Amino acid sequence: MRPIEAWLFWITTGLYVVAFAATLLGMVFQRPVWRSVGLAAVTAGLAANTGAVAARWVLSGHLPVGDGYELNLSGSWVAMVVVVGVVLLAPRLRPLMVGAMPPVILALGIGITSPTAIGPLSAAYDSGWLAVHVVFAFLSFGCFVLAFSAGAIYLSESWGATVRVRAGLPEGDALEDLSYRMVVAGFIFEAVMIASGAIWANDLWGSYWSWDPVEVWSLISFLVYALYLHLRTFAGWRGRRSAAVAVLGLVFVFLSFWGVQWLVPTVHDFNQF
Amino acid sequence: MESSPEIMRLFAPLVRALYSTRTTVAVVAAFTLLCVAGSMLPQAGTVGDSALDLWRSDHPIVTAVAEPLGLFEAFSSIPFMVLLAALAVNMVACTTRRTILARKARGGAAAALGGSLVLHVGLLALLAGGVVTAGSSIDGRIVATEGQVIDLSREEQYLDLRRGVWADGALPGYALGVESSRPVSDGGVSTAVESVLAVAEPGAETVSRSLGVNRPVRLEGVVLTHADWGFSPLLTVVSPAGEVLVDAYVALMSVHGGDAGAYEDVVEAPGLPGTVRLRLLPDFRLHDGAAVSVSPEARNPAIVVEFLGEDGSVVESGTAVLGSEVAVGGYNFAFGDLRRWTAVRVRADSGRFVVYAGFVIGLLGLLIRYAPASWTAVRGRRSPSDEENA
Repeated sequence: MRPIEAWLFWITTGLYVVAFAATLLGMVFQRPVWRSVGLAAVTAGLAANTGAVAARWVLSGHLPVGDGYELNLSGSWVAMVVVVGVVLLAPRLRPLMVGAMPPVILALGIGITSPTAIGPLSAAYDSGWLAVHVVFAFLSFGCFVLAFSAGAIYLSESWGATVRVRAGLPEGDALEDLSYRMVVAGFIFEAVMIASGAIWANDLWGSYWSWDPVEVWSLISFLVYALYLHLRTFAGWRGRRSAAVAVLGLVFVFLSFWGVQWLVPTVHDFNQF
Repeated sequence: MESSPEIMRLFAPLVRALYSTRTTVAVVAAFTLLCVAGSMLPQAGTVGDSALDLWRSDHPIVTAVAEPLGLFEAFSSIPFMVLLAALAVNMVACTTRRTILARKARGGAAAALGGSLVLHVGLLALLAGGVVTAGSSIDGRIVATEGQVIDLSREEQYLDLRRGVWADGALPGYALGVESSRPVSDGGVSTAVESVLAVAEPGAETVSRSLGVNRPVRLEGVVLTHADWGFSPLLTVVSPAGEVLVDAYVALMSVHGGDAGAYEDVVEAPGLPGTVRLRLLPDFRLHDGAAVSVSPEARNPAIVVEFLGEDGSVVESGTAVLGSEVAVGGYNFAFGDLRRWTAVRVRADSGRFVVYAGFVIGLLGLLIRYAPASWTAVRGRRSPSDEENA
C-alpha cells in the first residue's frame, strides 16, 4: 500500500467515525449542529473514500476488487454512496447514519487487516461480470445497513430506550415501514448479485451453481429476507418482530461475505489474489 | 357416493395448506436450515473420501446426527429433494391463487399481484432449470498436454464423468487437441494459462479456438471451460537392465501451483520399484544444498526424482535440469522436454437456459412488485402497490 492510499484510507475511516459520533451526539443531545457536522463528515468521508478507490485503481491498473482489501474498500464506497444518497435525498433520514456507519466501518476494518500489497489481478476476476456482481452486492449491503439501522432504532425505542434517538425520523410504525422498504431495495439488488454471479460462474467454472459455501450463504441471506417479506406481507409481522428480522438479516449478510470464508474452505476466497 | 361439493370440502384444508403462508415459511425455513448444515459440513464430492472419513472420526457426535439425515451429501439428499418438491408445489399453488386474484384486482393491487405472479413464475423456472440441469447434464473433466489429441466421445479419456439420471445419450464426438498453452501475466506475474485448442467435429475441418479462464469455448451441445493447468515433463526412465520403462509426458497433477510453483505426482509404471515421486521445480536453484524453486515461472526447470520408503520418507533422490538425466536407485531418469497440461471441463447442460430465463422473469417480477415501494421510501410517499394490496 502506497502512502497516498494509506492517508486516504485513514482519512476515510476517521471521517466515517466522526460522522457516526456526531450523528449519535446530535440525537442524544438534540443539537442540530452535531447532525450538520455528521452530514459534513460523512460527505467528506465519501469524497476521501472515492479518492482511495481511485488511487488504488490507478496504482494497481485494475478495478480495485481483486483482494480482500480492495473489495472492502470499494464495497464500503458503494454502500456509502447508497447511505449518503438516501440521507441527501431525504434529510429527515439522516439519523439512520448512526446504525448504518458501524457496519461500514467494520467492513473497512476487515479490509485493512487483510493483505494490502498490490498484486496481479487473478485471471478469474478478468470478467465483465465482476463489476456487476460486486457493485450489486454492495448496493444491497448499503440498503441492508439502512434497513438494519431503521429496525434497530425502532427496536431500541419500542424496548423503552431512554435516549431520544428518533430526532426527526418518521413517527411510529413508519420507521419500521422504512426498514421494510430498504429491505425491498436490498432484496432486488441481492437478486441481481446472485444472478450475475451465476452467469459469471458458468463462464468461469462451467456451471452456474456449485453449492460452494459462499454461494449457499448468499442464498441463505436471500432466503432470510424472503422470509422477512413473506412474514411481513402475509403473516402480519409488523413492528418489533419485523424490525428484529431486518436487524437479524444483516448478520446473515455479514456471515455470507465476511464469515463463511474463515469457517470453511471455499472457492470464494476474497483474500487470495 | 359423495357429491362433488362434499369432496371439495374434504380437500379444502389441504388446498389451503398448499398455498398458505405458513407452508411457505415452514418450507423456506427448513430449506434454509438444510443449506446452513450443508455449507458447514464437508460434502462428499467436494472433499476427498479420506478427508471426509478423517472429519467423521474427529467429530463422532455431529456425524451420528448428520449421517442418517444425509447431510454429508446435503444438496442431493432425500430431505433436500423433498423440500425442493414442497417448495415447487407451494409456489405452483401460490401462483395459481395469485392468477385468480389478479383477474379481480384493479389499479395498484393488480400491479402488485401481477408482479408477484411474474416473480413466482421466474422462481418456478429457476427450479425447473435446476431439475433439467441435475437430470440431463453431462459433466466431465479431461486433461491434455500440449500436442495431445483427445476424443471427447470416449468415456475412458475423462478424469471423472457424471451424467444426470436421464442423460443417457452419447458424448459429443469432437476430437480435441491442445495445440499450445501460454501463460497469461499481469504485471509480469503469471496468473493463468491460455490454451489454443484444435477442435474437430466428426467429418468437419479442424478449427482453432482459444480457451482461457473466463473464456469458455462453446460448441454445439457442449461448453468447454478452463479448469486447471500445470506442467508435464517429458520423462524417460531406463531400468538397470536397459529396458525403457517410461517415455512420455507425465502430467504432474497431485500438487500444482502455489506462490513458488510446486508440482509433483507419483510415477507408476511396470518395473519401477516401490513409490517414485516426481517433483518439478520451475525455477530451480540450489539453496543451502537443497533444491528449491524461487518462482512459479519456468525459467530454469528441473525435476527431482525421489524413491519413497514405506513410511513415506525419501530413501534416495536425484535432480536433473532440462535436457539432462540423473541416476537414482540404479534407474536412469532423463528430463527431455517440458510442456503444459490443461484441464478442461466438458459440460452439456441445457438447463442453464431455463435458469437464465428464470433470472430474467424473476427480476422483472421483483421490479414490478417492489420497486415502487422502495423508491417511495426515500421520497416519503406511499405507493399504491403497497404490501397491503398483496
